[in-house]
Amino acid sequence: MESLVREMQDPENGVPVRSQKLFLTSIPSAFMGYDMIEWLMERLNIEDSVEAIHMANLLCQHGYFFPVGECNKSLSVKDDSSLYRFQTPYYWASQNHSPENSEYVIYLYKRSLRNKQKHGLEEYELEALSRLKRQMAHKWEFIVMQAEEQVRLAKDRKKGDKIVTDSQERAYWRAYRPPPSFLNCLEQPPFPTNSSWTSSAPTSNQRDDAAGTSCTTASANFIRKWKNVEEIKTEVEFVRGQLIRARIKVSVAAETLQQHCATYSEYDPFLHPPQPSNPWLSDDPTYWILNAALVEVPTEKRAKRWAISIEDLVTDQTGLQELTNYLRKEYSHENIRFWLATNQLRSGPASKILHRVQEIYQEFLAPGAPCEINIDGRTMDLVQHEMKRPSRFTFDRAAEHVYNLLLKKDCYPRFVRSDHYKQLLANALQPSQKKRFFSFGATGKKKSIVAATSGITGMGQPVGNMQQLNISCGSSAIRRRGSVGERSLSGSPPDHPHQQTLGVSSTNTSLLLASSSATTAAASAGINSSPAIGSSAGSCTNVSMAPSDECDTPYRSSSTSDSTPILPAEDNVCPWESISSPPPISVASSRTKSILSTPGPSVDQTEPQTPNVSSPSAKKSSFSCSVDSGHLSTDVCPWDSASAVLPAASSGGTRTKIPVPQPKSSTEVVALGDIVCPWESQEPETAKVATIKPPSEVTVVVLHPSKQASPVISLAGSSSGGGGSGHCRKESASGIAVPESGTEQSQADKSSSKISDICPWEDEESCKLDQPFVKTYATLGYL
Amino acid sequence: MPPKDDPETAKLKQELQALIEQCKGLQKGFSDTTLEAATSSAEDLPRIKATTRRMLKGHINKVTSCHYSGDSRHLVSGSLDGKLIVWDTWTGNKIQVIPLRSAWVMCSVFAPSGNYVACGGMDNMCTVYDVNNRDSSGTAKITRELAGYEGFLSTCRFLEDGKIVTGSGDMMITVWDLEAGKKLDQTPAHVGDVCSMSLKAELNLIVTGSVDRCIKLWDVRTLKCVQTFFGHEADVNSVCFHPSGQAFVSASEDKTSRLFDIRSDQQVCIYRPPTANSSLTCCSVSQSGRILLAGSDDSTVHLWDLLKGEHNGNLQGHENRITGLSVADSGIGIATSSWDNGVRVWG
Repeated sequence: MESLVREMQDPENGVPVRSQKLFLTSIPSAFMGYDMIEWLMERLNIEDSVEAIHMANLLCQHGYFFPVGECNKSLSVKDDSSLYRFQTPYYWASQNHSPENSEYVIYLYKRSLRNKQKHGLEEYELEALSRLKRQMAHKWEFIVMQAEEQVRLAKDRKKGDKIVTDSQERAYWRAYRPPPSFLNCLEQPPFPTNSSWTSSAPTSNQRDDAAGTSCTTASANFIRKWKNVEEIKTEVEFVRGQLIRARIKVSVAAETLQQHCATYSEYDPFLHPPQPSNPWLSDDPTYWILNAALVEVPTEKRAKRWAISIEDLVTDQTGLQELTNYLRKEYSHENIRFWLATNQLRSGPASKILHRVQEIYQEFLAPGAPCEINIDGRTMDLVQHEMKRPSRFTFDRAAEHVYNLLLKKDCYPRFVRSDHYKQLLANALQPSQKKRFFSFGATGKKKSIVAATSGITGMGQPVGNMQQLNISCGSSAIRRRGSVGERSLSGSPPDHPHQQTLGVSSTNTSLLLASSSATTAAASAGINSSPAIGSSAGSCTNVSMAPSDECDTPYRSSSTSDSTPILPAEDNVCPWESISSPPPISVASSRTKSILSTPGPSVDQTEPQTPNVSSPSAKKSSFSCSVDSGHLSTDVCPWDSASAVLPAASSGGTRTKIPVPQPKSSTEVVALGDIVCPWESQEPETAKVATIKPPSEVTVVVLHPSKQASPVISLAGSSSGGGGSGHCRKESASGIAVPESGTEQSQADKSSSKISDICPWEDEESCKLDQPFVKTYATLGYL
Repeated sequence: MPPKDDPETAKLKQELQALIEQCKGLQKGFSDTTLEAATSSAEDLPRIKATTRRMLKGHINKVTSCHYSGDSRHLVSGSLDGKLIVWDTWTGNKIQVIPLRSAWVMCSVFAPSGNYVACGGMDNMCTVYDVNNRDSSGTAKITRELAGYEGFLSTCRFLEDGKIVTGSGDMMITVWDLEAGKKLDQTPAHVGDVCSMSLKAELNLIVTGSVDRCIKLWDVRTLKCVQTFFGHEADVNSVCFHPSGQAFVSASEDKTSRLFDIRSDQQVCIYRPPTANSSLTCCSVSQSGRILLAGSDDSTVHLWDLLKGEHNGNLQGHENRITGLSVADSGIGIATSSWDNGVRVWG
């Protein structure tokens, strides 16, 4: 470092040094910031000016040169025309003089004697001054005298000199007595370090340069001998205790290890490729999205892993959520809620501990509590005892009891055997390893364009859409259709709509979005024309789970719109959520987002029962489509969404945005065009269902399986050309006829013929209440 | 020369020595087979093809430690240039640069939640930063400065967001409550500097390695030593739990890495690099528990098949001693820090 500075001072090749003017005052032998940075970059072959500035900063902080004039706290070097001057070599750090406190006091006192504005002391300096004043009371007079003397001398100097000396002094003290929170570069390291400050090329055997690791320092350290007899005695006792410790045979231990490795090797990215793909190899970021802590639909591997042990399940947030959902469905989630509450209590803010302890006690433990947990008398006694001194660990014993005896031995095995878990597995994503890369933004545009072109044909077909339900599980089937969109982008013609069959997941790999809860449908619309649209159709709708929706957004962009409908059955929970995504149309229409608001003002409130055809009660539906924006808004109306679909159909006609909001769908729809809403027909059923099942739980959005009945939706009439798929759901079948698909079909066909691409649609399945999911479903979709 | 022991002390020492020998005899009784023999039926481990996927450049002095966040994506590294850097290992971007008050940082760790990072070193202090809150100058806020050590801080781990356990050069392990900023528990742990620590949060166990050549297993709740493991012939530089929680590995200055089983209370396997002339500084185990990784003074990371004890290869790339090694929770990546000023992510 020092040699570098000496080089800088070289009159020939060094930094250009000359007299500079500073506000009419000339400062002899100063240099400017940018000159120095440039010189450093050249001399050290540094390409990045940031690095050079850092280097200069270090030099400055070590006191090799100092800024003239203003002196900021951090002693930083600026890459501009600010002036700097070399410190006299005598003051360089390498001289190793350690400044005395008395000198520092003189300096501080001197400054306090002078002009407040210019030489005012910083707070930390004032503090130091008063502290030192106390310490050096015995020679305070002498200090005062010296300071006054120096001030007097200074007055006689020329202004240029004065500035220089002031800043020199100030920089010197800045280096040796840095303000708090600034690094003290000159601080003596706790042990000798030779040269670790200079970033000399370290050789691999630089052992002495111990700063590096604990190990080296450790080895150099003196190993303390046993301090005293007591300590040895405890150690002896300890080792004696070890003699009777139960051990297992190495062969058994080896077997356990081998088993563990075999069980988990599937999850080790170094041994087996992860799902969806190894991001390092494929450069595909979906890995991170799919494996985020909380996703709507886990990948298959992840879901499988939950069956290995309860630890694997509860350490995965998604797994924990699924377990909670399952237990809630079984009306036995008080245990897990208690366990979660106590875990939260442990890390909650201290101020609320007392309050929370009481709350938890009242909710889970007090006799007659709303969610009384079942723990044995002894544990209860312990808790009662602890309650006298509430702390964040009050319920630890009870929580442990609940975890080990109830959750682990009872709930967890039931969960693993349950249909809920089987469905999760079945619905889990099995992303194929796809390397294709697509950009959503692009898709959005394409879509819109296409849409525009597609114009109005009369028939759009709409599609079906899907709805999803979440099935009870929440697991919901998911499908994402996004993939469709992607494909189209990618150029490949799309072909398949994805099929999804029953809950199985299907292919869609690529997009998955995180959340997918529900899925989608795609309906693509029928736009005829556009494959793109199809893709858009692909959009998924997500259903339900609330959280998820948000997650999706990024992807969503691709999708045109989602709508999630939520019906609130009783309390706002929706028993089912279905979503539909209808709106290819809307997409088409606008790039902007149009939001439709819906008719139903209040979403939640409606009663399920009133299903009118026309409007299923109010739900709110808002639908927005935004092509570019990418956000989908979700709609909330379950049914409405359906309606949305309709509009889509209609849209064909218009191409513009159609917002159809639909609550009253029938009417409006009519207006638009011809389409009928399938939904409505269905509604009544759904309504009923809803009513029936209203579970009590309000809270979460998540559906309980039981509750859900999903209404499903189906819908659509669209069938697309070829197939038309229809979906029927049983329900629909049973109750109502499926709406219009027939009519539309013809159109659809036409359209289909026009279009080369396929529209994917998806259908969805619906689940029925009690039945475990019967889906009917059809996929269809090829045009 | 240490002063001569008085007779009582000498006698106790002898007794201790005898007991330890007795223990070793008992352990031998249970080692009815070797790990290699017991696992000969396991499939061979394919050669691991990991290469540098990201070179994280930004430190301008030796990097002394690195640690993955619980999301398997973010990484914190600490360097003697007085900075902590939080990286996104996927994009290779720096998420945050945290200037430290003391440049002598020896350990840096991420909380599993990703909300906090802690570091410490020869300032004899453990400093906890809140990654999500920034002060007026845009750097992470210090949530706590935990002082009160008589030696450097060599290792620390978050038990959860509000609790941290540290090991230090004054031979102590200490559990801190971050919210209150006070010590919950402290105990003299070893008769030499505590060098390294690994924890199994669900099991409430921590294992510490020390310059006194032994490794101890602790119950976090009581901070009582549960077991002691002997075997290494020099400082234990690093320890790391096996994901099964029933074993752990260690890396030592004696140029070996070893596997200890907790239930059988003894060393079950020893791993030596093909040319054992540089000590091992850090170790870890892959997500499945099949691969043992150990960073070395020879600037490579050695890989072994943990079950069979066979050397599987090296990760080459660093140009100087490897100081820290961290495997992501999901196993998707391995991060190493080195004296060559670089941090690398392997996958």
